[in-house]
Amino acid sequence: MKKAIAALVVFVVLGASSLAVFHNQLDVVGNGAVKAFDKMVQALPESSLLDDREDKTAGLPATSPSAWHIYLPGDSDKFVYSQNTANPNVINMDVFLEIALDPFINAGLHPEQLPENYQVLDLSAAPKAVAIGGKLGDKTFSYKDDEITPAESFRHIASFYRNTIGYHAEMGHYNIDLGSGNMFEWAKDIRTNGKDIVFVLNPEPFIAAGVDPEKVEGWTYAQVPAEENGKMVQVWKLLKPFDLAVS
Amino acid sequence: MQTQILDIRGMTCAACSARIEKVLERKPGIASVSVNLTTEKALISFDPSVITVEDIIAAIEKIGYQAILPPQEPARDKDRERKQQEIHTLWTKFIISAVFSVPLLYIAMAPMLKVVRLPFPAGLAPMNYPLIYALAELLLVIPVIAVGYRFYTVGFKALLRRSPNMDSLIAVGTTAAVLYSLYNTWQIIAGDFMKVDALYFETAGVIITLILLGKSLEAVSKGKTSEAIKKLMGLAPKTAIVVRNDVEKEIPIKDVMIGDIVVVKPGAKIPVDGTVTDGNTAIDESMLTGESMPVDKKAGDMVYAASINTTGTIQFEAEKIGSDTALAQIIKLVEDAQGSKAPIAALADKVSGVFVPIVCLIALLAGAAWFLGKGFSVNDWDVEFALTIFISVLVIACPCALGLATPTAIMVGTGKGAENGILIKSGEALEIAHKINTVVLDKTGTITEGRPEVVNIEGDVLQLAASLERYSEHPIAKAIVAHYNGEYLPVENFRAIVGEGVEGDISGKHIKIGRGIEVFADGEYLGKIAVSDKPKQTSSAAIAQLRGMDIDIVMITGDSRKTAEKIAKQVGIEHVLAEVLPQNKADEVKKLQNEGHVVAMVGDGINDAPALAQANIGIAIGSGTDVAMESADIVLMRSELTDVPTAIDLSKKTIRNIKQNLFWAFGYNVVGIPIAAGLLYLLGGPLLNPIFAAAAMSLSSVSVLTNALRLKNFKGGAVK
Repeated sequence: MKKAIAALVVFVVLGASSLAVFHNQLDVVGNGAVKAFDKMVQALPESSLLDDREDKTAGLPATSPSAWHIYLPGDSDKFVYSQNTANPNVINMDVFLEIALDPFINAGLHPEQLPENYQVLDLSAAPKAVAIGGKLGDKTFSYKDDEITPAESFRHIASFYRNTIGYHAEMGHYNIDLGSGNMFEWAKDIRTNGKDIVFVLNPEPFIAAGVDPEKVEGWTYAQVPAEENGKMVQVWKLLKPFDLAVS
Repeated sequence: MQTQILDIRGMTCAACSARIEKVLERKPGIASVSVNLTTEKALISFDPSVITVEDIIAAIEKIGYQAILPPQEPARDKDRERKQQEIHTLWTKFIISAVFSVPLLYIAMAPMLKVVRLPFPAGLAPMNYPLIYALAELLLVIPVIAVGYRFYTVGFKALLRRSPNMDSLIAVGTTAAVLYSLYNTWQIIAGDFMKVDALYFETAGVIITLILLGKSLEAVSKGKTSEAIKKLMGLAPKTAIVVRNDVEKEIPIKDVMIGDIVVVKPGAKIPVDGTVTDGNTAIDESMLTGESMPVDKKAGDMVYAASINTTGTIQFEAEKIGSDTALAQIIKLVEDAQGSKAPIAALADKVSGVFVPIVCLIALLAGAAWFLGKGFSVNDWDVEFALTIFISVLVIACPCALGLATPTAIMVGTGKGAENGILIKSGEALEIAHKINTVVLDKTGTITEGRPEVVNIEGDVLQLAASLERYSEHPIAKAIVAHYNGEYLPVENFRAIVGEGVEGDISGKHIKIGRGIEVFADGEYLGKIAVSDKPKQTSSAAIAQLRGMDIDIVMITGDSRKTAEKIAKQVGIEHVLAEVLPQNKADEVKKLQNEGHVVAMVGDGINDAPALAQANIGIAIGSGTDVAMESADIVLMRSELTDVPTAIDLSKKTIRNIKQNLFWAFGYNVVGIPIAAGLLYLLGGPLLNPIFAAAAMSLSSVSVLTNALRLKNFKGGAVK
């Protein structure tokens, strides 16, 4: 009996150690998210993905260091993510959605009533936009041969800030948590998913700022399942899906 | 026909004992088989010219159980040690499985709890790290399965032999849960992360843990039920002081031989049975008879193993050793009774025999019905739901409680009887005793002291009578002899006529003493001796107690009606059968039975043996003869009539306990199986989680055992 107990203890210790050592390799969601993001990026038209040092038309001024800007179909909205979180940009956000405010203003929004971390970008060269996201941290991203690629930058984010990456089973989407109930989602398989990318916004700050969520053009106000305090609940969200038309 | 007791190992539920009985009953040469799950013993009656014990053992082992000849006296300790070791092993297994199952249950349930948010390691969050989460659950369930491997080895073997038992239910249920979870783990690896919601590792782990807990509690409770036997066994001393070559020597009890002179000092236990050769003392025989007052012993008196010498040093000659001592006989008698089955167990045995296959069928049908029903009606082809139903039905339905309901109560009941000096020889006797509505009491030695005294002498007949009666064993003869102090006359042609008296030739005359103790010489009446026998102090109270239990009391005696009615009046008996010849006592009992009475006959003499055998229950007074005790179903070790109502009361309480146990065991399954099959869910209620099914199943066995153990509180002599 004592030998059997000892064998079981050894087995469990070895097993638990293996889980700890191979945690990253066994992280199917984290690894899957990076792969799917890479595929999504590769499927984007060349003009839709810009390093902001090249993005002279972007609503946001060039930042140093740079970020990747993914323009979504319609060119009014984009997802921006940092190339190195060690160096904060001027709006101090590592990942964020930059969305056009016009539909919200038309639905009753008073931009000045949005929370402070919703940064309204009032630029003459572009329609009014708002940056919704946050600072992930201050980890330094190292690139092999100094070759900064969109996939590699995202891999760093998924690696250093793994807890922000999740999986939305009902939609077959991976997502990155932008804080305050906002998310950027992309399809696990863009070949089969009709909604390749989805912007997910918490409607509460907008409603508080005067928006009638049912009247925001181009956005859907709907209930979606979400984990809240460890339990799955139905929550209201403002959703904007994009189809990259990849087959 | 030969009877053999075998120790059976490897039985886990009533289906196992039923299976062994079924297989052996089919063997030619076997007359009867009774397998007791609680004592783990088989009592087999067989014709040795047709089948040998070895054949029987082989037949039992062929179906997967171990059969061994019961250990002899010195090996009993080892057997007890083995059982203790078994309990220790079960507890160890339970603790190990609990150590792994508790965290397993935590990580499975904590993310799902809606009321409170429990701390949970981020690196295991099921939606973020589904594979790591699944592997962590797998890592925790493997040790639990390893600890409970016996459920699988025994369960699947039994299933393959088409004789599924409780282990088969556990094995199939938990294997289904684990295999399905492994499949879903593979699905997670393949990219279907949602399958993290379809892991049932914790179900398997917790089921095994709870069953092990139930088994551990069951083993402890079983141990408690046989405490009476343990107490009896513990009474025998380990050594004896014998005189060999004029030297006192302390030797192991097993080395004492018949004829040895044994020395017992004050405070020491009598090691074997024998007759006192030297010394006087008082001996406490309460452990054998229940009688609290020490009994005076002098040369010529019998002493019994395990009784305690209180005052003086005595020497006695060993006459009965080993398994022949009174203590060994009592232990065997109690063991046999505890191993026997009461007729009330027949229904439970029948049900247990077919229970497991039927449950397997119900589980399959219920699972399939829900899968197809939901699939066709609402297009919801829900494998997990059907699997939950399948596992729950398998796990909740276990015949353990059914199998334990009767034997545990009988074990405690007969053990409690033994503690009170009431030896109940079989489960059947215990059961029938509760139905008794008429008690027939022998007068002499049962109601009365059995030591009559001369109270009057009419005519000069004492010398003649004493000379003749000294050749008789009759209590009246002894009273006359005891009363006479003179010289005896020589007697020729002595003859005792049963039920009539004695006769013989003295000084050329034919002397006859008839039933009324009238003395005749060559047919001429010479005179009469009157004797009187006092009722025992407790007789009146015992009869009042019996009457209080709505039991008719009949006194039966060969004495004259006048004498009989006098005694009957003293003790409060109205119905007297007097002047009944010994050979007619059984007929009187039969008459009562024919009138619809369930009769207990209480007696002590050889002449009572036929009536004891004829009665529904024969109760022998312990101070009586071996023949009477052999013929009886219940033996009262003390010569107290108050033990008769106590025995009947014990029987009633035991049978009531058995009925309660059977009610709960049957009721549990009757209610549990439909709930597990989704009946409540169908009516809008909740679906039974297999984990709760396992808990309920374990609790059912434990509750039955706990209820049986309540009998340990039985107090002898508590009848009002």
